[in-house]
Amino acid sequence: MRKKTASQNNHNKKSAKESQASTLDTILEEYMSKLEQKVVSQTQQLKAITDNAASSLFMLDPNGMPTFMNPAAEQTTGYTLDEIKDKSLHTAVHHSYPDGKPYPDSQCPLRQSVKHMMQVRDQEEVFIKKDGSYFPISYSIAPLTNDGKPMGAVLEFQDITKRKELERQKDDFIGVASHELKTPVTSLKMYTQVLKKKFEKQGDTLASESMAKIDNQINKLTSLISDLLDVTRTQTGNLQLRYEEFPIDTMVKEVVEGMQLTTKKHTILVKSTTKKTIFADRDRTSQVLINFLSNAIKYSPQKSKIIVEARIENKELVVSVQDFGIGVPKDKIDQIFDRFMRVTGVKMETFSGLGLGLYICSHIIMRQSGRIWVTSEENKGSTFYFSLPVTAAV
Amino acid sequence: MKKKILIVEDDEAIIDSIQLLLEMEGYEFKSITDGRKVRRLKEPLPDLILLDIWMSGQDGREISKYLKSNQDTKHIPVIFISASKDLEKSASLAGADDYLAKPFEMDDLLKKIKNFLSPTE
Repeated sequence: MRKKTASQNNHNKKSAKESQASTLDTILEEYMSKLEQKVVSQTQQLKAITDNAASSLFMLDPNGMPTFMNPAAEQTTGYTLDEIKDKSLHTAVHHSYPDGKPYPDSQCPLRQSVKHMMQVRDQEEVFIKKDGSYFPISYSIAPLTNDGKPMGAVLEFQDITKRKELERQKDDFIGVASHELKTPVTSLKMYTQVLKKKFEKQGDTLASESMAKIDNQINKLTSLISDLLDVTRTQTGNLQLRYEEFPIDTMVKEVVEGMQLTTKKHTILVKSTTKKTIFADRDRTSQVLINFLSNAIKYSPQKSKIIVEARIENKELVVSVQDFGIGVPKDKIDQIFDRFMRVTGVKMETFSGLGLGLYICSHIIMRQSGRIWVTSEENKGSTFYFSLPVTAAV
Repeated sequence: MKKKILIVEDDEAIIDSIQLLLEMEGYEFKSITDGRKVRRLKEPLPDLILLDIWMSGQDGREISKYLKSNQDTKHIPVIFISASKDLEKSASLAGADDYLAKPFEMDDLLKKIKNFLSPTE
């Protein structure tokens, strides 16, 4: 066999390198083409999703300027991206309140959540269409980051005009229904009380006491109807407050005496007094205390003591009602002031009621710039608190 | 002489039950179910009027405004009895002298009436 010369060797090495390079090129090309296909298919997929989404979608840069909107967003707002991309979203569709007053950028919760990279879910605002009309929306915001760097946010929203209209119809219906329910209750109550008085005069104790019991049941029915009405008022913002100055201790005493009449099993103790007056809605504040007390009675069927305290702490009136009953389970405590919330006992015993009382209470207290909260341990009892500012108190 | 109380209300059962009460308490009682008839009140005029707000085809607030703008009737105390919301506001806007939310306690109704008149004088 003839020996290979150096030049031959070199040539062979070179062609091996070339062929290696061309294989690499092919692999790279194939890879690139696959990558390209993948990008194209993913882009198409993404476009199909955003094009067909029923929700309106916006992409916003960190300054709240729109960089993308899907067809649903164009349809709901009436704008195209080109028409609003040089404005912030707030300036374009959120610049005023429905009453026409300007809505400052600095107060815009959407703007704030984009700026501070906060995730937001199912909040409500009112947007403005291109034609100037207002429409209620429910929105969620998801911040976007790249290597921890803020890239803006995705805003998703739905036009909830229909939902709001249905809510309004429901509220109107409940308003009419409770009015209609109160009419027969009024005559029922009158007949009962007149009969009670007649039986009393005749000395028929059994009959007059039975009439008093019927009257008591009618009162329960009335309070359920009132709760239904109150809850629609809180929803429609129609809960009227009547501020007056009144002595705190007298209000507490009256409520406690009234509630003591409804229970033979429990003793309601008033542990502390304030000797102060407060400027607040007396009837509504009493209503909150009545609700706390009737809950304390209802949810401590095996116990007899209920403690009421009223004190002034840091320019606030703090009123608390403590019971030693079934308590609130830990996983339910955050929802205790929600609508339709009802606590079930550990033995699954249920308690009557619509689950509206505390929801209404929290509304009444918050409308008066106060706070409402609870501490509780299951099977040990609960303490419900509300506070009201006493700055205007004398 | 017995004092006369007129109730303007479109619910027969409420009229009937309040009649039972007020007659038991010694008042003379009259009722009108059709609110329009209040505008044709004749002597002897009632000493006090209990007025419902939400009646079929009639608004008690308009009736109250009419009564209070009329020389012959403006002195007659008007008490709204109603299950309508914003009762206090309605009463003050329509010139009513007092109001009572339905359903009410018998004693509260009697107390409100007695603020204006006793059964006989």
